[in-house]
Amino acid sequence: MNNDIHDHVTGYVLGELSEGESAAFEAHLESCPECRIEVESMREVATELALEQAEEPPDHLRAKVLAAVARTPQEGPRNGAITPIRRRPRWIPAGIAAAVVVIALVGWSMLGTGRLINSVLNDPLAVTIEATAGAGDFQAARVVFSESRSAAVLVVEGLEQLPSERIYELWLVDGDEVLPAGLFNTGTEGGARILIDGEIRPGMVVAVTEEPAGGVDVATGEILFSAPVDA
Amino acid sequence: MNAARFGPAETTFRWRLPFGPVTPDTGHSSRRPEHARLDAVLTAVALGDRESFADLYDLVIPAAFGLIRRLVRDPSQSEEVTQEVMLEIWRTAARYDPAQGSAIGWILTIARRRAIDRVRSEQASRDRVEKVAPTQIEREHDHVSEEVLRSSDRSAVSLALAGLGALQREAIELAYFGGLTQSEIARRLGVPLGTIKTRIRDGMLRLQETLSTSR
Repeated sequence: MNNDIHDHVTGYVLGELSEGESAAFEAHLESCPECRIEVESMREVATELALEQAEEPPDHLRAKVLAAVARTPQEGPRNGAITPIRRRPRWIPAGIAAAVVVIALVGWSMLGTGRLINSVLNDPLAVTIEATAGAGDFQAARVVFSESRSAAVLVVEGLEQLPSERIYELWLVDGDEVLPAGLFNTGTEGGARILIDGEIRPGMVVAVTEEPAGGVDVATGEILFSAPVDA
Repeated sequence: MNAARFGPAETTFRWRLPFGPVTPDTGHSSRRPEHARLDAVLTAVALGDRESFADLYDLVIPAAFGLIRRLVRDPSQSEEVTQEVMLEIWRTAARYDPAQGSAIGWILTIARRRAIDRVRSEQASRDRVEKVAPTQIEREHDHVSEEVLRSSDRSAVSLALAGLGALQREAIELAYFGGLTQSEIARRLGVPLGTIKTRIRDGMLRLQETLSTSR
């Protein structure tokens, strides 16, 4: 462990590092579980200490902040973007499918999927399963499974964005059965949040492979990572 | 592309690969339930849900404002900084990574960072620390610790604080109840910055140990 960087633990938790130092330290955290544990432990205490002196701000602040939020756009994640792609039903020719997908994607993902993804991630009883690495190179991948909504969301980070002729394909493994469960690509910086397509139950395994664009019915690529769904 | 390596037989074999031991995320079990919920709320905020943001505001504002107020002191400036912090949380919510810790910890780190930025950017900050503040801080600090210690339902954290060595406790109290930065604490106590860092780190980790065993 690098002593200089390690030395930043207290400064980081106390919010005393500059923007650049913070970013460098966060990068260090990715590769240093010791520091990560220390930061989390210290933050737990810091939270308790902060709560000791909790204080209600004046009431008018709430309306002010919410009004400001209403006109402030959000920034994307530092390393990712949301790129849901709908699987093409086999009977639609590719050209038409592409156009339909673009239209469907906008309406459908904003109204339906976005909301469902929210409600899964928002479910206090949802279970988070860290994926086990296979052949894939990625920073983090996890499946958030909400039993009450019978839905699961895959959240990946640091997974290379594929060129247009390739695509990531999701699979639901149910015993001997392997069902395609959606296609996706990651953002320019390797992130994605995808609603897993299909009826999902505990005991199934979610897996991801890389396939030719358009997807396949039987997996051809190696398992990049997988996660058993457990309630 | 890599068509050569694909094949049904191999695929069948691959699908039979053991999936290996997986540790399910049990969350951060020692945390308060409202903060466990906050992780999910923040994740929804990251997806642009403004309603969830209002929820988040209500969950975190007393802790965030209290912390900012302690550092910035001036009430109207504290409000300004609080608004900046809440907007920053809204804008950058997608950067929150649940794997790296609790949402409340992430939020309070931002709150403290922005409060310290404000204090630093104030031209008069040096005067505040070196000339005006010592007595004021001392008063405030003593006042708060007394209050914390006197409180009839002493919280687990104040009980744990009382169990620390005097030097570690002093450094942590100055940082959290006195709202001082580590450099300010070092200057004030006349000890090297490294010593203060060590005291705070060791003290905090000791507190965490005490708190997690007392739960």
